[in-house]
Amino acid sequence: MLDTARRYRKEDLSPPAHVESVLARIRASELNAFVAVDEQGALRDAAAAASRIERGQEDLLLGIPIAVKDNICTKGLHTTCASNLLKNFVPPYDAHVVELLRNCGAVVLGKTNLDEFAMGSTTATSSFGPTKNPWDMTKTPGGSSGGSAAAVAAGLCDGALGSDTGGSVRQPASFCGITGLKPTYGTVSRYGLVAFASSLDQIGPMGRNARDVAVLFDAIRGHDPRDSTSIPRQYSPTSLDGLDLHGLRIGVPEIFFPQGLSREVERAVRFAITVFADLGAIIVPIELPHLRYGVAAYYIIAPAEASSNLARYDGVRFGVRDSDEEDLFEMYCKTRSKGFGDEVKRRIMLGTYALSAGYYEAYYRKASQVRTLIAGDFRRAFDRCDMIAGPTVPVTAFGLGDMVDDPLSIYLLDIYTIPANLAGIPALSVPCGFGDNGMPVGLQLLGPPFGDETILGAAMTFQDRTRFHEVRP
Amino acid sequence: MSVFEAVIGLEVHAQLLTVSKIFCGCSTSFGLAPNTNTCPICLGLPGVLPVLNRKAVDFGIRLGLALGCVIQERNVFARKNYFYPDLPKGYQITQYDNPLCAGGHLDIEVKGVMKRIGIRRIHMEEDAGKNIHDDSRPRSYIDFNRAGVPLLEIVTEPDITTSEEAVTYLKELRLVLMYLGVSDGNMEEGSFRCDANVSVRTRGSGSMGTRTELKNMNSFRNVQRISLRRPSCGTPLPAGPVPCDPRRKATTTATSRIPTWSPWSSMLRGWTASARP
Repeated sequence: MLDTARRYRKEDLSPPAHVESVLARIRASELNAFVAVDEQGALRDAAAAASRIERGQEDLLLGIPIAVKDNICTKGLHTTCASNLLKNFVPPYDAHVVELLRNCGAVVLGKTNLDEFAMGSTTATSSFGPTKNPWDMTKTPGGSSGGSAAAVAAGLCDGALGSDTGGSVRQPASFCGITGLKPTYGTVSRYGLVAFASSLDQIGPMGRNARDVAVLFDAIRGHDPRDSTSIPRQYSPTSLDGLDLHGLRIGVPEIFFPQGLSREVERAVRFAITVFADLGAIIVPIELPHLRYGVAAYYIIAPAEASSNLARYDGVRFGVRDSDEEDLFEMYCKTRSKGFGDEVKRRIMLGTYALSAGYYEAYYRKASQVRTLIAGDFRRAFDRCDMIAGPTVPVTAFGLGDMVDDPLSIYLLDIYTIPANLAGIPALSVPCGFGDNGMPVGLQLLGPPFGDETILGAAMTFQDRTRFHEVRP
Repeated sequence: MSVFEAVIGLEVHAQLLTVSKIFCGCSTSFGLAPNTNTCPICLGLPGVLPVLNRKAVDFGIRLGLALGCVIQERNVFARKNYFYPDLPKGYQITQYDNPLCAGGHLDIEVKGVMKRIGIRRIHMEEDAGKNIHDDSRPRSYIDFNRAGVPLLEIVTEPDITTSEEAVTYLKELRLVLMYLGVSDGNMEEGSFRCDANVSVRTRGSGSMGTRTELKNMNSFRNVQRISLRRPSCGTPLPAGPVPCDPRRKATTTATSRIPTWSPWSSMLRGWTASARP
């Protein structure tokens, strides 16, 4: 992305030429990363960006082709959440982040594939079929922002937006060898992001390296009065110089390295931590005693909120209504039975149960209390360290068809990513090596609230010393 | 004097005179062409979020102070989940555990005697849209102009024992709302609606009879009529709770913060799918 911006200024590349070549790559790609491509709009915006660059405008995102996850609303462009129920939905408005991207001259290429309503870790629950991992077409790119991650890794865009409710930016970033950030809850407006679990959802930038991610992050963050959880705060641009790591305290919780962690991931992550130590960081052992309950709490809270958030897909006002039933109740049943896939139904049922009268106290309230304990663990940990390092996912990308009948095993893979969502803290994934089969491994850095720039800066310094992010599939 | 007495608690829904709706910028004007006062937010389109109208809160506080309530510093909105075509999001945003106002009263005078009616709570919520049924063919239509209009729900303690008291309380409350300028009290347009929780017991008995909820009474005359009939039903009474009047439909009150669709789904059968706005 930054390379492209520089070449635009050196005039050895023009936005229309670059966007045209990216569109050609998308057309030739067999990854199924995109569910919709807006060729006309992209070329029109590229031409407009070219004239703004000629007039000397400095905005780094001018003419940069960006892919947007298909659960983020785009005016006049289908937004389907990869669900049959929304396959005909065209939003009459842009999400806040899309407005911001358009305002700074970025070119919105199209919409990327995801797990249906962002529920999943493989992009396989998409009604458009699975996206493939550009490193190995037989493997999953992860999810739910798998389309965005695959598109970035394969050069089908210069950067992308994903959304992260329990790891949906970081896990596919790890599987596809790219950099992805889940910002502090409230720094990026959720207006126009189709809600999955409102207290956990956060839109995040994805790119080929931490500097690209930082530029995209600067563009999309900021207060938005249309999202009451967006924090009224002024931000100055993130420094692209990297962070001086001398004396920086990096906490490493041993609970991140249990028996079950795959050897290849442990090797790469431990190596990355020694790189940080070489760069002057102080490695501090820390404890996060309640983290073990994170997955359990998450799989109460997220489905509970989802069951309520997805109630609006009833076939009455928009989306696909199943037939013209004479009876309202039948219409509701058929619309939702046919419109939603298995994973979405599973979570709606889990969530409805957890919220129903008599169970609320035992499940949702209890899970919320666990959430408070986990946030407390992090607060205490950040008294002793400036950031926390560990694996993003316990494994590397697995086969496309693996574990499709075993949702529980897939849920358990979210063990490292979920805590940041429960606590609302920023976390990112950077490439830190490769597994035995050549698939990328991600290192996760977690920061205190509003520590987004610190972890991005540390990732920049790490990438100045390493080359993992430069290896392309 | 009858050996029975009624125990009545009233829930009033008062539409507020705000310029815009409670969670979006749409106008609250009444009587416009269907679905003209709508936007992605009050239609519940995917991706939208509510932003609370400051004026609605001001109006609620104003009424709370007039009725001697405690104004709660911490307010929580909750979702009441149920499926119904006039409810765009599949849930109503309302207040449950932490309402805006608690514990006030309104003094009324009936036949020269003053009586204090306790106010249990006042909370903020959003109104639903309106289903319009076409009797000539199996079709219904929905007007979402009203969806998201701010409401105050004013709930009394079960302090009312006669229909005269009920009507006097309602008239007095309506005057207070109008005098404060927070509601126009227009009953024909539905700005002032009343639900009554009525039970019948032997006079002087400490216990409560079986409760019946009478929904959406839109005139003082209805309140007068219904309440009068209750105490005279079914004599002699068996021991224990008084059975409900079979001529009136009792609706179950939602006791759960997040009731699932099961108690509601039975009500939906026979309804027809609606046309889109």
